[in-house]
Amino acid sequence: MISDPLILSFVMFGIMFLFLLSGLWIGFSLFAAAIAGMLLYKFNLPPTISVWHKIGALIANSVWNSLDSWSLTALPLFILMGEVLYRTAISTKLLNGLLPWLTKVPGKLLHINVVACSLFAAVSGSSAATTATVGKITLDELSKRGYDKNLALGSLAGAGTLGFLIPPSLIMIIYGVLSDTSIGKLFVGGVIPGLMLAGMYSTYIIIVTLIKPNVVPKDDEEFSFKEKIKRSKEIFPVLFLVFIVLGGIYLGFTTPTEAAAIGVIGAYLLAILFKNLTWENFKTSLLSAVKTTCMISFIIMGAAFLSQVVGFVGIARALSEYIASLNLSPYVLIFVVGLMYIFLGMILDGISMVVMTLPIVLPIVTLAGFKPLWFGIFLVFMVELAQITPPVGFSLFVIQGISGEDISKILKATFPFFLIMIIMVVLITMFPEIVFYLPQKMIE
Amino acid sequence: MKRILRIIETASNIGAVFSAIFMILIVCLIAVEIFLRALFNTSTLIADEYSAYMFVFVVMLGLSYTFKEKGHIRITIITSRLGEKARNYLETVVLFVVLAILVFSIYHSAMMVYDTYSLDMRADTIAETPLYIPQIALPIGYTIFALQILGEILKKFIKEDGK
Amino acid sequence: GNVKLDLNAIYGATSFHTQGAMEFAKLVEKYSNGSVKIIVHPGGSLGFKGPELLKAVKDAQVPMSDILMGVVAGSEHVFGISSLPRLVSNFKEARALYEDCKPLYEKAALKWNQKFLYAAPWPPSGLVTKKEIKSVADLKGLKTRTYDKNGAKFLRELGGSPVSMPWGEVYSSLRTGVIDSVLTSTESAKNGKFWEVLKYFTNIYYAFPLNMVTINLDYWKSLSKDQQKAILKAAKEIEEKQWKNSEERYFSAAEILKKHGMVINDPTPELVKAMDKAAKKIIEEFMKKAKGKERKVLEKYVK
Ligand code: NA
Ligand code: NA
Repeated sequence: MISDPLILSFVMFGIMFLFLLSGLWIGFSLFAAAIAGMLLYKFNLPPTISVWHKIGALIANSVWNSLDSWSLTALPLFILMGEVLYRTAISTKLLNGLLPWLTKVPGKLLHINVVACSLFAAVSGSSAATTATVGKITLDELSKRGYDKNLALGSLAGAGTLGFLIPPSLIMIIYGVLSDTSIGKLFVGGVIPGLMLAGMYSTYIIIVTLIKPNVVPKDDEEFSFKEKIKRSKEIFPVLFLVFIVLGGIYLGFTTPTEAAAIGVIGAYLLAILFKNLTWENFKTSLLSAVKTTCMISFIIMGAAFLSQVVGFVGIARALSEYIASLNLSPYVLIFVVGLMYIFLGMILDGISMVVMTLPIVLPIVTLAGFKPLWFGIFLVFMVELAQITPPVGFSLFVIQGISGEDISKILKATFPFFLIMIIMVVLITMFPEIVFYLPQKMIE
Repeated sequence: MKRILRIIETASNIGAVFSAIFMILIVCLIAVEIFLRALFNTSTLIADEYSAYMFVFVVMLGLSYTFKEKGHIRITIITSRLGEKARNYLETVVLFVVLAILVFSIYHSAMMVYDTYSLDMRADTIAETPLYIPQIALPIGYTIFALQILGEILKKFIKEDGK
Repeated sequence: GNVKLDLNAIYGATSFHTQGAMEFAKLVEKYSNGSVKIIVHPGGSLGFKGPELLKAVKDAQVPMSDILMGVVAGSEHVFGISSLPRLVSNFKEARALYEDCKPLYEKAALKWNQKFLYAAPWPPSGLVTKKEIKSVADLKGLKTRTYDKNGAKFLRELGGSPVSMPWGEVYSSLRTGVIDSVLTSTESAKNGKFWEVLKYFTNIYYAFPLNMVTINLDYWKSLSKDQQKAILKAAKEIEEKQWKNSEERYFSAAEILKKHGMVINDPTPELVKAMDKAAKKIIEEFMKKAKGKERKVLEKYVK
């Protein structure tokens, strides 16, 4: 029996790694580690209550609660939309249409993940949906055309997390309510950092291409202006889809969650229009979407229960309280808080992480002179980082699911983009104006 | 033995078909909601509630199929470096761990459904849905999943016999 | 011996009910000479949502929880009383209704294997809108986010088109126009900074929904007599304080809304009449399932 939350957290972490490395599926590893945590924790139960019964009831309830969620229902729909676009070759058309415009840019089509994710982030409030949809459309096409796999995977992982930073954003809404910060200002505050991050990803791709030209296929195709226009027609179907989905949201017809359904219907309509929708296509797109959805959701189920156990044991609280007790100077404090979130982000999902730590962290951070609005954006970055750190990193799982690549290869590919995100965090810490500029404009 | 395995696979496939059907139903329900609101200024008042219920079915009924199709992820850095015999042994142990977790989950989710039913717990929504109806997806999904794992374990033993 | 109890709080750490629970925890520690330590887990960080909480405390999944009564009314009829529309129209009446219902609440909690400790009301909900509401005609076609079935029925009865959506989607939906109004309190309107997207707050005193705190009976029985006494003493004190707080919060939050340019109106007599008529229908339907003492209490308040 262990009563110290910090020691227990390390023990649980160790057990989880043991299970993971022995080849137990990720969702099951999370369940197993959480059950072990419950058994090891000193609960002081009254004699009439058995700990096994408590664990069982909690698992049943947390699985039910994690799945009975309106905002999650957008996930399978966006995945399905991506599948339909992929199966019916509409995604091929998109890349064909974009290529003529990018031949002069070093990296060419490699920028598509960055651009498509930024665009899609304006539709979806979640990173998993952004990564899954864009990845389905781009990954296969890129490797078919001979682009470097590492850059394709990494840029997808990095840019996919923009779903949280570019509004609408689920995390910002939760933070806004918990911290008494204007959600509108948070939304606006995320725009410049989001675009900067996207810009830095693209810059990185350009630099790598200049150093190692072989990451991009060699075809010195030259396109005349007429040819360019002709080929651009192929972009229109997807542009049309983006327009109806975005338009639905910003003209006030749909909520972001509902927009996913419009996206699916639009994708099927396009497929019918191009006479690409066979029964076979229809069936495989659905079953494939079922597979990806279930894979992610099963991990979400495990993560939900693990988060619940972490909550009971008080790990996040103990860590935050420990940091609060250190009396650090502002920059050291934010550095240590950042480290804490990276650690927590390895085992928790973003929302739990924010909810569990905020009551303790926010007061010490504001006391040290940081503005809640700024800290909100900082926190969104932390949640984004958590998406791409193992062992619980949803973007990694999504990419694994749609690409079938080994997780260690995905990790290696993602690492440079992880570092870029860290640089961006350092930048907004040194120059908070990056965050404040637009919200201040908004008031005037 | 082959027949048992085939029946199990069929169960997983049927689960996947229903999972797909529920996915389409979510799309339809949300489309109806948007349509009603935009054109007739009214609402189903259940779209958010019922699409969440259907999402539970999408996931629970598809879990087993996803496993069968090797859709669930695991880390193979270590296991892929083991010899075949050691790997087989480890995989069997892991499958038993999975089975244990699933059987535990079947029992407790069934208890939850039974309680929700006998205590007549209802959603706090205009539909006042009895909650045991959507919750029943949990024990059903776990059961199909557990069968699939059982089949997987059987296969391991058959293979060993074959040698 | 020394006991540690987890208390699940649904709302965020800055919420008025969570703050009450935290203060309650402090008082309990003081009165029990440190032998009972209650740990408040705010913001639903234990993974509970609401409707399952009666059962969760019953099964000791969590030893203590704060529970919004209306949300568990689907499990236990009597907990639906406090969320009935316009049954009472000010804090004094709301308190009287609570005192009358308290024995019923205590009994219902026992049935669910838990001990009722205290309850306090949310500040009453009003109608927060983009356009001014002067008459029933202004409610026609209003797309209002409501938080429970009574609210939806009530507004539909008045000619509106209620929409149900999670709180997390409300702000952006107001901004883009998916909805144009919200049924909520001055306190929540303040916390959501609704002045950025809405303009009018109409004081319709829709309801005074109660939030209660309960403890699992097995845990309760495992405590010593002195510890139980300490908890009850703290509960009584916190209850008084929270009732007073709720009223103060209603007005102080209204002041903040005003400061940010919102206009706060009382409903016109015509609107009051129409609302009472709509509410009556819902209350009568609720009464159909009310028996014995519950019925008696309700009859006292139905106009
Ligand atoms: Na977004
Ligand atoms: Na992570």
